[in-house]
Amino acid sequence: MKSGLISCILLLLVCAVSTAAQDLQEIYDSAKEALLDADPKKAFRLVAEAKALVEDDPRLDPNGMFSRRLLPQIERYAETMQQLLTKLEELAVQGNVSIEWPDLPASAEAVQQYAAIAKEKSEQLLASRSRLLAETDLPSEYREALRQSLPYRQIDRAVSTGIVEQLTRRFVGITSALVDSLKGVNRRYANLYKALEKAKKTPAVSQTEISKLNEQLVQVTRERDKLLQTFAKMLQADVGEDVKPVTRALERQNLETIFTNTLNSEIKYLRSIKEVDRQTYQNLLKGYERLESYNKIFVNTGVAKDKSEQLRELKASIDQLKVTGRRPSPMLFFILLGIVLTVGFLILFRLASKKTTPAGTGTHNAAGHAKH
Amino acid sequence: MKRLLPVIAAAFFLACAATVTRFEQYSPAMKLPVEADSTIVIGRDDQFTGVLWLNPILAAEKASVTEVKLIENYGVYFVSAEGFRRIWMIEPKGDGMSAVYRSVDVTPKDETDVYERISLSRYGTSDNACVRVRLARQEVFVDKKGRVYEKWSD
Repeated sequence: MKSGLISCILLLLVCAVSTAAQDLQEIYDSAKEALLDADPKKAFRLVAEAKALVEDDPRLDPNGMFSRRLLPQIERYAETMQQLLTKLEELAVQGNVSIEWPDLPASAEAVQQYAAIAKEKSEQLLASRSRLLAETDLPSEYREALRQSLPYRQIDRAVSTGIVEQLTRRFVGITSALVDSLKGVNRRYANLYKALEKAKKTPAVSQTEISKLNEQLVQVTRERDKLLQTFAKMLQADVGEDVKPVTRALERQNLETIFTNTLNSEIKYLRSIKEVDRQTYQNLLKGYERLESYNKIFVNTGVAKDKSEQLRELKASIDQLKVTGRRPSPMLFFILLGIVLTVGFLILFRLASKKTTPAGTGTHNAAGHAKH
Repeated sequence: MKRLLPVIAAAFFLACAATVTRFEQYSPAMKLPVEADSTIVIGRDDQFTGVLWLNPILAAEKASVTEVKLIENYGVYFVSAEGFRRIWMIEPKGDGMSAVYRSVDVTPKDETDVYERISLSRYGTSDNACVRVRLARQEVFVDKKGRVYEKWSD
């Protein structure tokens, strides 16, 4: 108790000595530095200290420059800064308020809509913050100082972590249903493929029916692609530092196996066909590129191991296809043009030589005859 | 004509009085960066009142500094820096292009004393203010003529 009292007295003495050692100019400079640290409370305290000094000894401020001009100006800035910080704090709180998500059935569209809501919320928050700073009449250096303040950084955190965390939680809630959808689509694909193979081998089945089955297969491929794309987007939004809930959920639901099955079934289908039209060929190439990009995302996020080998097989299967109605290559066009031009020149040359030769011989002959 | 003389004189003095206004030339202490060409700009950014060449002062101090402290008192600039041995008084000449300068040793007892933790501020009344120079170990007052006092009384 006694030692505590002594320490308190010592601390008070140290504080008194340190204040006495400072002069008005130094206190004023410290108040400005406090504003540069976005600490208006400290600035207020130092201004009060400076005023007390001048009151004690008016000779410290001969023309009243500090008490009439400089200190009130610092006070005004501190007041504006304090108000701005309060508004930024309110905004940071708004950023952490939970978003009211609409209850949508698990689908690719739902994922898109949730991501759009989160994006809008983030943009609104950042725009409000920028507006607050832009509207203030604080000198630029103090305005810049606010960017280092706690509420300003809390808003950054709310955008980069808080809103994203809410979004990923929403995603986790629908991953299971989406994975089930992908499984279902893969089953439908396998059934259609079997039906198509059977139809091709049955002479009684008409070409129209085969085309219909092919169209259905293309439709299912599109659905599958959409779902894979959705997973890729969800994983890209899963930016948590340590715990990545979407990644973990998709790992648990074994997305890797489903992706492998997807690639294998695609390879199997491509090997079963020999030729495609130009449009289908282009679509297959685009589809391959998309699968390649999903593979990269799955590998980078750790959801699946690299499937480059299967992808190479897939590409090889596409390359082996005979493309009907293929657009002639530009080289062929130039070769044909060259041939046409050469033939044209030859004909012209031939015609020209036919016209000049008889006339020449005729003159000679005439001359010859004349001589004779 | 003689009767008119006082009137003319009064009019003359009134006219003279009308051309004069109060202009207090002083400033708070400023920390100013020294440019590569040894100049300092008195003021900040695009709001400044002049450019001062410090070459002769830096040569006399045999010092190379990146920052000086400056304060204006009754139109005279007082300049010093960490590592200087003197306070320099710079008084602008009327041509707007040059200034006369001289130095004041505020620690005359110690010839080798190098200034540390310099703080400049004005002290006194509006009509009779000096520059209070605070160093690491002492405090002195320099009036507008360059006289040094250990204590200041109005």
